[in-house]
Amino acid sequence: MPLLNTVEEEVRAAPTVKRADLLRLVEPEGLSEVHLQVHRNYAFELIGSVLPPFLWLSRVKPILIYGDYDDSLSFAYIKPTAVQIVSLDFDRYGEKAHSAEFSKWFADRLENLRGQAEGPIIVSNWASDEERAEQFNLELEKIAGRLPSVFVWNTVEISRNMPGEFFDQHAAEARGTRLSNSACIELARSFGLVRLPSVLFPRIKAVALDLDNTLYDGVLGEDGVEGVHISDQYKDIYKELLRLRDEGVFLAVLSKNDERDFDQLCEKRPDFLLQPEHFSARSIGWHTKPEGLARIAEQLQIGSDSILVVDDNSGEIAQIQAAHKNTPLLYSRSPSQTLFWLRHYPALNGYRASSATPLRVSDLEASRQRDLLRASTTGTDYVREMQIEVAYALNPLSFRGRLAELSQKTNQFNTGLQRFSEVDVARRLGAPDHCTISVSMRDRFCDSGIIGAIFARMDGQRLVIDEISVSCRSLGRNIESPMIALALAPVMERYGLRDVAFWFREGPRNIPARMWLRSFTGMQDIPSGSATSVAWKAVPRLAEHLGAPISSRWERTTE
Amino acid sequence: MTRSEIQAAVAELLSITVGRQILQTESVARDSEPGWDSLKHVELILMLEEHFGVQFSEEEMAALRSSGGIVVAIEKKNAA
Repeated sequence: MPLLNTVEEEVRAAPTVKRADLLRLVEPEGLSEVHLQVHRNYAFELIGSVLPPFLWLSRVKPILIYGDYDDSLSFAYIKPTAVQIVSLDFDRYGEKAHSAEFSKWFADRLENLRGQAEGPIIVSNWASDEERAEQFNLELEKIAGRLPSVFVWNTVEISRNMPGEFFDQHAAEARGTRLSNSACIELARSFGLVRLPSVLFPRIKAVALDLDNTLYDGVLGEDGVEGVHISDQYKDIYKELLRLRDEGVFLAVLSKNDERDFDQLCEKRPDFLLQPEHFSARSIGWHTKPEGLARIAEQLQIGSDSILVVDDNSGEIAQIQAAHKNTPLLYSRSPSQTLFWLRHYPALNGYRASSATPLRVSDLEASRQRDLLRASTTGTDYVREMQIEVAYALNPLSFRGRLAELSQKTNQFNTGLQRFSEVDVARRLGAPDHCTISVSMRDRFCDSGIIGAIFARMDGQRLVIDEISVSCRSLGRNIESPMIALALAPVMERYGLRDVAFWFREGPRNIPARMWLRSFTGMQDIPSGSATSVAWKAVPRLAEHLGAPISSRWERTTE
Repeated sequence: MTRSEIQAAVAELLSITVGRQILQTESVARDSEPGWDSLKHVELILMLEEHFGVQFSEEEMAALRSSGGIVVAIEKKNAA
């Protein structure tokens, strides 16, 4: 992800964007082509033609594939594209769209598309304030929640918030759409900056913020706590940051300042709405910004490439760029622009609420408490003292999004690196001879939610584990072997299986998974690209794993 | 706005539309310009409306088939 909010991006962040200004921009080199198939009944092309400049910021060159206008959504020719887009002018359906049958028909068409297409589907909702449209949009949310990898593009919100008219009836027939030119541009902006990146890329996990002239006007060390100026726009920035935190994005301070001044600012300025406890990590001092960023990454236990740095100092931005090449950056030129980019920075917004994400913030604090406990206890006592409870669910359809997320995002403890999509997971959940197990965990410090996924299938008398992915948030408690043994034991017994085989694929960061496989199977050679098989009863220390001092239970097994 | 200013702006917007540099003095016709298809024509109209703050009816849109014709149409709208 690039540095944003330089002068070059001004066009894209302007309150009102002109079509000509977008089309004048020159395509950068080195973009990755992403194919998108569009199913529509109006001239989506007027959105599609101004989409590229927004997607270039995510290093994406969109290749849009259009068929004929199709009110019937026949989906006759589905191309193997990265994403399918369904965007309709629902008013074209007239009275028909006002019947309850219409939602059922639409759900059926989306199911049909889901059955044919591999990648995510983005479907725009009905941009109207009419009651029937509101009902339909609520139903659409439910349909999208039910189908794997189907995401709603909220055009209603855009129609309400954009400056100018959303619809423009003049020459609508000749233009092929009732959407105004401004609406087409706003839709392209929301799709290109927020909606599509949120489907294509993993979310940025943290925002690291400079202080002076980034979170207020002034220099804390010179102007003093009472001397810095906090305008209403800064308060909007604080609210935006707190919203991101509520959604599970860590906040951090990365500043060259005296730490005591920062604490005093939090304490003495009620208009500075951020408090020390809102920041999960801090690097406030006189070391360089790249060093500070490395410290923050370490504190948060994430890579610096998933931390968005917001800073008003171009020199320091350049230093970070040189030392952390893949770190997303936001040059804070004015509070209004910072606010715009906090709302529109690619891969920061637009993600579906997941039960796991808000837990990430509380889990980090808990991990610090666990470290203290570990320092004061040893081995089994430590595990017992943590009062760990593990809950398993077999083929849990409602968790498919989280299971796919674990498969796709887990890098360290991921045995198979299969990167199952939500569609893949949904297929496995419904396939005979496959079993997928979700693992949830809580301890005396916090509820971590679903932290593990086991993707397995029966092959004769063997249980083949295609992948085990465990979130790094739950590692370090040294309970991986009991946790996995307790999940597999009932499956082995229930189906009378003799052997267990672990498929392994080597990746750049999954050494912990290989080390665990060595320990669990007792095999020193864990080759990449093949399965390591072991007789279940010959698993070393199996009885010890099954008797570990953790409490386990099975939740409802099928849905 | 002078005729020359209108001509310069139209040439620039046409350049964006067809993807090649069009000089202010150059006469361009839709029928002989391969990049000026129906979608590009709609885009050009939208950009002209944006730039000059005017609106074209469907009939006017269909009648705009050359750079010179566009300049004349905008002059008329400005004079009205």
